[in-house]
Amino acid sequence: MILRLSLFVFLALAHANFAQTSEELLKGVILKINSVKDYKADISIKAEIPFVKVPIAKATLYFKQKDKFKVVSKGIAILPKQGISDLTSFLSNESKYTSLLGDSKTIGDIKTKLVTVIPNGENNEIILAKVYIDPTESLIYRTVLTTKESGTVTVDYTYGQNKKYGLPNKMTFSVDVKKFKMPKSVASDIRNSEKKTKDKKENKGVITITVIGYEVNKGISDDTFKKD
Amino acid sequence: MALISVSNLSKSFGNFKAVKNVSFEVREGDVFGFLGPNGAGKSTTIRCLLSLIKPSGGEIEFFNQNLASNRNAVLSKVGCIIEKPDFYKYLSAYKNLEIFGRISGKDLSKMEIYKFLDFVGLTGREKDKVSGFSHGMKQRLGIAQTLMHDPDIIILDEPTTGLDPQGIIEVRNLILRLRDEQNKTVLLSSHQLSEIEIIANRMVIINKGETIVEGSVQELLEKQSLNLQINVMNESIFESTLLQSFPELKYHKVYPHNYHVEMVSDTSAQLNEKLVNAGAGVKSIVPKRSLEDFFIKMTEK
Amino acid sequence: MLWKNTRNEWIKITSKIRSYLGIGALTVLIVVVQVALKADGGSFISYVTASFEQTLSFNGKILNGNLVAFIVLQMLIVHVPLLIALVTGDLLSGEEAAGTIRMLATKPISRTQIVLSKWIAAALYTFVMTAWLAFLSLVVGKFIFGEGDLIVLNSSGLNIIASDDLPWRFALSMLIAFLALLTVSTLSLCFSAFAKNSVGPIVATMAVIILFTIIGTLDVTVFDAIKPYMFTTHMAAWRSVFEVPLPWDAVWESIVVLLVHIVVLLGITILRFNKKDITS
Repeated sequence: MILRLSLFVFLALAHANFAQTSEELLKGVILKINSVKDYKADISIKAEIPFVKVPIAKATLYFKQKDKFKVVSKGIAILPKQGISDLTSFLSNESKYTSLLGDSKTIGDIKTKLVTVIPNGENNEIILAKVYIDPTESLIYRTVLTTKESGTVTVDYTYGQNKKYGLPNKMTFSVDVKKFKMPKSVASDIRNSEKKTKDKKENKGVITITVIGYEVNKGISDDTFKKD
Repeated sequence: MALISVSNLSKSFGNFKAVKNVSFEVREGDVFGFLGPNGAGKSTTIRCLLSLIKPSGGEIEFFNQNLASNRNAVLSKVGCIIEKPDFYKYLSAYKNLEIFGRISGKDLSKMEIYKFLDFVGLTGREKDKVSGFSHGMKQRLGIAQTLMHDPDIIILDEPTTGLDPQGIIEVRNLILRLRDEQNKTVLLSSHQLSEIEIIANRMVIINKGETIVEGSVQELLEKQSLNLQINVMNESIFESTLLQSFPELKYHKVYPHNYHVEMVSDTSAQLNEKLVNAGAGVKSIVPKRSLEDFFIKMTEK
Repeated sequence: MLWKNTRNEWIKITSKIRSYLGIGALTVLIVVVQVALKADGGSFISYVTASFEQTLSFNGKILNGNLVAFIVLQMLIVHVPLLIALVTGDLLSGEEAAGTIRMLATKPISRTQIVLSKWIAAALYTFVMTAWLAFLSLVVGKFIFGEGDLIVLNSSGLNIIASDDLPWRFALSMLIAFLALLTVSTLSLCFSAFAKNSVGPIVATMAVIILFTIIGTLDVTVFDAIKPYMFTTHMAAWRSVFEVPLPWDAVWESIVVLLVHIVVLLGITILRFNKKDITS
C-alpha cells in the first residue's frame, strides 16, 4: 500500500511551477499522478528486515486510474503495508486534511520542501504524513508516514528515465519492526538463545523496490485487477 | 571316524551347573541316542553343539574341527531341529524353506525345494501358510529344512515331543530313512528309552548334567538282565514250576499273583510254555529290560 | 551371506501385516492433514504471518505444496518413530518370541551378520517410510496445492525460500530425517536384542524418546550439558536446512551426533547378540 501511495505521489510530478503554498505543492504532485492513466512495471524487491529472511523477489505491478492496483509475483513477495492506501484518496480530497509548509531540506542533491499533512478527523489510520517535494519538478523525494497501528515508515525515491511521468525507478522503504512478536516454541533447536539475543538489537527494516521496466499508458484491462 | 567329539563339556547359568564335564563321540553312520530325563542337560548340551549357547568349558569338535573357531564351516554341514521346529507363521511352507535354504550354504532351485517338500509328504501344501499347519506337519517341514543343504550330520532334539502316535511313527520312519537312504549321521535326543532302543545304534545317558553311560545300544542291552512281570492265577503251581524247571531264576512276589522274575538270558518263551502246561493260569507276561530299570534307577538318583 | 540374509530379512518385513500398518497410518495422517489445510489453510498461514502483518503485506501463493509438505513433515515426523519401532523393535525379539531364532542362529551365518542384515533391512524399511512420507507430503502436496516459495517460521524469524532453492533442501532435510529415524530404528533393534517379546522394545524405545524430549524441553541448567548429545535434540535438525543462511556447522554436528548414536547402538546390539545364550 505504501508503494501505491508512493507511485501516486510520483505520478504527480510534472508541474514545474514554483508553488509556494503547501496546497499548491500537493496539487502539482496530484496533477502528475493523473497524467498516468495506467502502467505496468516489472520490479525486483529486496527486503532486509530483522526476523525475516527473504530472497530478492521479482514481481509485476499493475496500476490503473483511479485506484486499481495489483502486484503479481511468481513467488512470495513482501511489501510494506502501513495503511498507505488510505493516503492516496486522502490527499486527493483536500477537505480531509490540513497541510502545512515546512522547512527546506536537501535530499541527495535535490532541494525539497517539506509539506506536513494532518488529518482533520480522528478516524484515520494516518496520524501524520511528511512529504518532501521538489518544487521545480513536482516530484516527491521522501515521505515519512506515522500510522496508528504500524508505526513509522519512511520512503525515499530515486528517479530515472520515467521522471516525466513522475514514476521512480527505485523506492526504498524503511519500516518499523519493533512491534514484531515471535511466537514461542516455533522451533526447538539448540541455537535459539544466541539468535534471539542478536536479533533484539535491530528494529528497522528496509525494503528496496527497483523498477526494471515500465509500460506507461498502454491500456490495461480491468480483468487484470480481478482477484485470483 | 568320530564326526562329533565332545569332551568335558560344561555349562553354568549363574551358580547353576546345567552340564558338568559331559563327553561322548558320535561316529559316522550312527543314529546316536542322547538320553536323559527332562532337565538332565540334554537341550543345553545340544544347544552348545549348535553354538546357540556358549559353553563354560570343554571342547566340541565336528569333523575334527573346533566348533568355536570353525562355526560357519561346521554348521554348513549340520542340519537340526531344536525341540520343536518354529517357522515364520506368516510365510508359506515353500517360502520358509526358501529363506532357510538361502542361508544354509546351498542355493536351492524351486524344483529342489519341491523335492524336499515331497520327501516329507507335504506336496500340495507348499503354498499354505505355516500358521495353519499341525504340529506334525511342522515337524516334517522341520526335517525338510534340516535336509535342504545336504548336511552330513542331523541333530534332532526331542523330535517326537508333542506328536500323536501316528506322528511319532512318521518321524521315526523318516529318521530311519535318513540313515538308510541318505547315509546321514543322526544325533537324536530323547527322554524315552523305548524310542532310542528302536532307532539308535549307539547312545549316551546323561542325568543332572553328567554322563552316566555311553556305548552301543546292543551291548548295553546285552549287559543287562531281562526282567519279567508275570501275573498268574495259581501262586503255588507257579512257584513249584519255577523251583523244578528253572532253579537258576531269581524271583520275588511283588504283590498277590504278581511276580518279578530276573533272567540272565531270554528264556521267557520256555518259561511261559512250562507255566501254561503246569496249569499256573498265566494271565500276562510283560518283559522289562533291566536297562530301563537301570535308566530309571540312575536318573532317579 | 550378509546380503542373502538381508534379502531374507526384507522378505520377512514385507510379509508382515504390521509393516504396512505404519505406511497405512502415515498415508491416512498425511491425507487428513492435507485435506484440513485445503479446507482451512488460511488460519494456519495467519498464525505464521500474524506478527508481521501490521507492517508488511505478503504477496504470492503462500499456501502451496512446499509449505504443505513442510507442515506435514513437522507434524508427523514426531510420530513416525513409533510406526518404525513397531517393525524394527520386533526384528530380534520377535524371532526369539516365535522360536525362529533357534533356526536362524544354527545356520552358517555369524551372529554379527545376522544383526547387520537385520539392521540393513531395518534401514531400508526406515528409508521407505521416510521416502513415502516425503512423497506423500511433497509430491501429492504439490499436486493438490501447486508450486510456490516456502515461508517458514522458526526461531530466527521468518524465512522465505524460493521454490527453485527448495528441492535440494528437501532432499537434505529428508536425509537428516532419515538419519534421525534410523537412530530410532537402531535403538529399537538394540532393545530388541535384550528382550524376548516384541512389546518391550517398542515401549522402551518410545519411553526413551519421550523422556529425552522432555529433558530437551526443560529449561533446567543441569540438563544443558547433556542436551547437545541427546539424539532427540537432533531429531529436529532436518528443520535447520530451511534456515537462511543454512547453519552448516549445526547440521554437520547433528549428522555426526546421529551417526555416532547409530554406530554405538549397533555395536551394543552386535555385542549383546553375540554374547547371548539362546535358550528359548
